[in-house]
Amino acid sequence: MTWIGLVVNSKWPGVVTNVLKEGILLFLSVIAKPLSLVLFHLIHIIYNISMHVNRLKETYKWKKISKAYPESMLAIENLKCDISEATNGDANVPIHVGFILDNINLEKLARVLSWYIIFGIKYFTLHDNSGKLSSNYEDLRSLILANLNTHNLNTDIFINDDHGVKTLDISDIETVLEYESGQLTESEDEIQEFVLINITNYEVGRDSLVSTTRLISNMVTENILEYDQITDSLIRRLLSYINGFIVPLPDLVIKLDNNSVNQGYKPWDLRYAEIMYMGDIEQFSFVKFMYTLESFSKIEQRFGS
Amino acid sequence: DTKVMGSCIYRTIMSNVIKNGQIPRHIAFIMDGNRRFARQHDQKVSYGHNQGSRTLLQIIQLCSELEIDFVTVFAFSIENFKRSKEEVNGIMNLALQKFSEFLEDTDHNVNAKVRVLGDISLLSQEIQKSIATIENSTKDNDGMVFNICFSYTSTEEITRTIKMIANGSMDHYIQEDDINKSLFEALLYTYDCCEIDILIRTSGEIRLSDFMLYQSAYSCILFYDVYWPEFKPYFLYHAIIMYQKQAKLIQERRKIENENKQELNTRNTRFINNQREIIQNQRHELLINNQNIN
Repeated sequence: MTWIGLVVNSKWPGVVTNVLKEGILLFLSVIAKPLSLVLFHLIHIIYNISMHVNRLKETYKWKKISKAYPESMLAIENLKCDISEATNGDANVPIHVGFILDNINLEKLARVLSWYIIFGIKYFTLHDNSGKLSSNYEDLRSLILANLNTHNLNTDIFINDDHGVKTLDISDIETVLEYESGQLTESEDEIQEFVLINITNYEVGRDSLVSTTRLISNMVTENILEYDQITDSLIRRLLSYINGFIVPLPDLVIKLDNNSVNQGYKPWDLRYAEIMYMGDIEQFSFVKFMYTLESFSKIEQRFGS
Repeated sequence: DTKVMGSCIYRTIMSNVIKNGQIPRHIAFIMDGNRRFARQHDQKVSYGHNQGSRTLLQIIQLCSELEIDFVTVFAFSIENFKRSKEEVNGIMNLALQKFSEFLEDTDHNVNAKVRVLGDISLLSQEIQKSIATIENSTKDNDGMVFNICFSYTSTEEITRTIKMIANGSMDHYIQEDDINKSLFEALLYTYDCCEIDILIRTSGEIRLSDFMLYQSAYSCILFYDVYWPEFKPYFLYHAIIMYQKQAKLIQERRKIENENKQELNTRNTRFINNQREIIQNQRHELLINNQNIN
């Protein structure tokens, strides 16, 4: 309460300053509490209104821009060229895109994923805590394939339902150790022929680290692994291992759940990922899809330096 | 004086108003943008870091007024060792200077308990001793816990935790069934902190950069497009209001995740206490060495 000392001039007579100080404190204790509660609710109301107004402004802005950029294969091809030209051929595009979802609309989600697949993205993670995707992923695959067919595109889509904590068998562990030792090398070209979609939820989040700890402890106890071989590289590979190959970490994670809460996404995967808040899936238009890739291409990752 | 008085009145009013809602218990900051701030003002990098440390002090004081229990800041990443030797040395010297200033400035250090989280073995002996001194001097303070992540990355923290548990398994202190979430969390650097409620990153970058990845699984993550030295109290109030709007969702999500969380058993507890004792002894040795030199 140092400001009281500033209000009450120290040059005034002692009686006056004391009365004034006590008066201010009495006011604060009696009147201020209910007043502060009123102000609190007022601030929240004003905040709600401003958020709503901003949302309306954003919706209008995106709708206006959408008219200039209708959905088409040509627009996606042009975007690729623009990004490539702007980065002098060294295009900064994501290899793996993650989505944090809430309100699942399968048709819309399939359409969104199709845009990214046509652009050339091969790896996706769909984080859905509602469980709807886990029970409908075959429908999702069919919808994506149907979308791609309308553009005369055909690709295999492999969906890995990562629901629950996965366990690796001995052959999986041996494969990971071969990657660790350099006998096998990770390559972005590995899955040119198909698209991988990994479905996760909160159960695969922090729990995946605990189950990986258990796995590594067993490997060490059973002399499959030396203690000194436990590195962040090994941990990343064990966490990212799916059916014979190592999935690269996401470079871009798009939140489509209309809030700013993390929702239990796999912790290690967020290590260097760019995180974009893009409203909800219903409002995720073709222009927003272009925006995410264009923005990503301009980001400079310094990795500490 | 009028400006200072106005600022004080504003802070008092806002702090009292905000406290009518749920106040986060733990806020984490990625203090990004010091160098760019300095470049923007045509100054050397050290100017940016100095201004940044002033902002940090102001924010700590504000968090103390708001009765926030834990404040964690990302001061220096293991990755930052890649910077020029001149800058790294500058940051280390600034850290030394600020640690000792913090201890002497009893009016403004808000009686905080300071802890330094990270792989301090990568730092010079001088800094390690300074860290041991500041931790020891503030360990009995009853104000907020102020965690400074220095020579830290989240992946190093997680790797270290996994190695400790693997070592415990190898030596048969713990068995496979003992390895659970409670054990894992009890061995992280933040073992005695609650989960992070709000994680704030300044400078407009929109990534976590290997900071508190485990602890922020259900946090409100906010990115502000201002450099850290420009991060004013208004932004913190805004962040807390955003948190208050989503606090219910955060609590629901945490409750669902923790439904089947197993508690620690006797073996776990013994193992954890043993590991913490080892770390405390290492810090204590540094302290004794420092005192002997002095």
